[in-house]
Amino acid sequence: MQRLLLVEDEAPIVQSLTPALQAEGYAVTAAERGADALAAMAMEGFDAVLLDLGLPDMDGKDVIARIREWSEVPILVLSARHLEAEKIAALDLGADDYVNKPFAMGELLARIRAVLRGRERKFSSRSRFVAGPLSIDFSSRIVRIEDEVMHLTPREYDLLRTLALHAGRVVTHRQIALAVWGGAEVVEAQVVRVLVAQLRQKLEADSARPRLIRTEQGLGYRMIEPDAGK
Amino acid sequence: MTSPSVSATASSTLWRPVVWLFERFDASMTLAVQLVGAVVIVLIGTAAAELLYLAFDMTRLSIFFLAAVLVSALLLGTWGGVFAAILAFAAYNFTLVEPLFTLQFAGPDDALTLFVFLLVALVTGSLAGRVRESERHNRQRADLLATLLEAGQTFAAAPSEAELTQALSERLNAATNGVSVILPDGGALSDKAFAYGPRGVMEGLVARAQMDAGLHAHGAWRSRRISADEPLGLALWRIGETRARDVQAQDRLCELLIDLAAAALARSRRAGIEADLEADRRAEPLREAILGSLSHDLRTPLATVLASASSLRDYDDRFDPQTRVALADGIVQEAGRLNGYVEGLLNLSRIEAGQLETRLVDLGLSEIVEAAVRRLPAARAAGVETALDPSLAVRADPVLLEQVLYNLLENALQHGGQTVRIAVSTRRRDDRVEIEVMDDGPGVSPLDAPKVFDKFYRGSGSRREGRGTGIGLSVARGFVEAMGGRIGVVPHDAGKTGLRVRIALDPAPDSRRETV
Repeated sequence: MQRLLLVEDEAPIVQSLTPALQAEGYAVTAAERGADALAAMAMEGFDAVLLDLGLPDMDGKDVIARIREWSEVPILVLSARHLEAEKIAALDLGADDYVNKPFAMGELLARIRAVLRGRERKFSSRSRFVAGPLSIDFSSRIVRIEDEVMHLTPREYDLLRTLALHAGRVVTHRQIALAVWGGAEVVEAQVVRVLVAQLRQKLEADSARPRLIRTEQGLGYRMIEPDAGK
Repeated sequence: MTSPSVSATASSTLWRPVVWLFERFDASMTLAVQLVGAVVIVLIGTAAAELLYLAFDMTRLSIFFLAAVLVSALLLGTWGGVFAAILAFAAYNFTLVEPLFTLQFAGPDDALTLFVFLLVALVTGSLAGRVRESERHNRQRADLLATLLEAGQTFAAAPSEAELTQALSERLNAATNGVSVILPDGGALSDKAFAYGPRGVMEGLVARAQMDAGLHAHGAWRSRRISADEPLGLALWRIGETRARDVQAQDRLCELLIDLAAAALARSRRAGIEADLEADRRAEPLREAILGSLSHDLRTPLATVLASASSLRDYDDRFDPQTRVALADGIVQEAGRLNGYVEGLLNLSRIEAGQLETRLVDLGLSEIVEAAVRRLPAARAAGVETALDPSLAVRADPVLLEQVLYNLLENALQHGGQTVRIAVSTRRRDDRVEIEVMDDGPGVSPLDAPKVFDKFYRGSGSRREGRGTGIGLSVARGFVEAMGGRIGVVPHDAGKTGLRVRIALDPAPDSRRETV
């Protein structure tokens, strides 16, 4: 049974989420405050954290930073704030993904599954990534669409690998810049956009309507989840 | 006891006839008037000297003639003094110098005396006249300065541009004895203005003033642009009855008045722009608070409603009956909360728009308090203690007052913590009825106390924890004020914490009579 830590100060929301999460087979522990959440994290292991950013005692972003000091547990941000800056900051601090309030249960559960699978991938030694027509062989750096081998520049390949490693989750501009350029230089969001456009040109059947790499407006990009069992 | 100001008044009363004389003689004095004046004054002096000569046989009376010269010079100016000197010389010779009643004189002694007299009289007359004239000039200059100073102050104090231009128009009218029209920048003369003068002349002067910043003249008409860095408008005026030699000074005065008005106008526009910017800056935190409130307080209940409803749809068969009921309860409760929030927003906007209609009736106070307490969830209502005087009645709107009390109770529950206890008490104080709602929660600092009634203020520090929306108390204040009452935070007794809100309302007329 996978264990979830739900950090949320609004009791009605906790009460409304718990039954469906339990029905899906998760064990739910609720924490009202950031301090309670950190204490719970220290006491027992969790498979994922669902975190509201507006907490009574501390900024939710600080909770992310504190958890990330010692744990790689997937963090899914639940935010009523539609403030892009807030979400980007949370993601850059190490949150894995976010869900905007209000959300339907199905959307939340899909996101939880994605962050949990992402953690499995992180620790798996699988060298192949397959999603729809796309396949990547990490050991030989060969990328194929259907059966055709695509020729990517080193930067395009680094971008693709980063997105694939986080498949199903949003990757911010800053995270891409760090992974591709190594953070040695300041990279404008525009430069990232150009690189993504080049990659789409090579991989997407219709680069105006991308199916493999989706744009998260104002935040970053999200690659579709890999096919199960391949 | 005589105060200094009283004695000063006495002395100025003493001087008033002199001042009056000065002012009379100052007004448009022609040479003829000066000559006649000099004759009269010298005749008086001569008569006085002659009388003394006849009565007491006094001889050294030249001082009377010199006095006549001095008075003439002071009253009439330089020319009056010179006329008087010559007249006095003749009169002196004629009346007091042997042979009497002729203009001849006896010997060189007399001749010398007479000529020294003439010299002294001429010098005295012209000097005194000059003192008189410079005094008059000074007074004119002081008048001019006072006029400008007064105009400058009036312009600066004008509460609006319309009143400022009105004040300028009045000053121009007063300075010229004429009429004036002030046009805003780019404005055109109305048909009404053409009643004052020939249309062609007026329009021509307006056009010239628009092109050039100087003073433009056409006959009795003048125009000048009102400008300080940028054109602000223009002034057009017709001078009334004015002596030709004063026209130039008057034009200069008008120019100065217009420049003063232009400076004041420019300043008030700058101040207006700055005030707008300042208001914008101040509104910024409020805007953010409103957006934050809308975002959080609308979405949070919606999140529960949406999650519960979608859970029920997707997992209905896997939930036991209690879970289903709990989820449905959550939906009902949060929908109610959402409704309360929207209600609060509507009330707030009704207050802001000034569209609140109150229906004031005489109300038994304890029933209203009990009705508000009954609206609370039963579990929380248990924590409310009431100490009510059943005889008290107020003049208030029942719906609004109940909402006010409910909002205060809800606020105490939201911010006071789970175990908060609330005390509601009523009493009569002076000629008003007071209701006090007090909790034992964390309260607010004295610094924050005035802010609790601000829109979308939701507390700082530990009070932030609650689920408040920052609407309830501002609605309460709006309602209380609409009913003619007052609401405020009262400091707590020493050693106690918690928020203590006091409302003062007018008593119902019946109960007022009881106590009187």
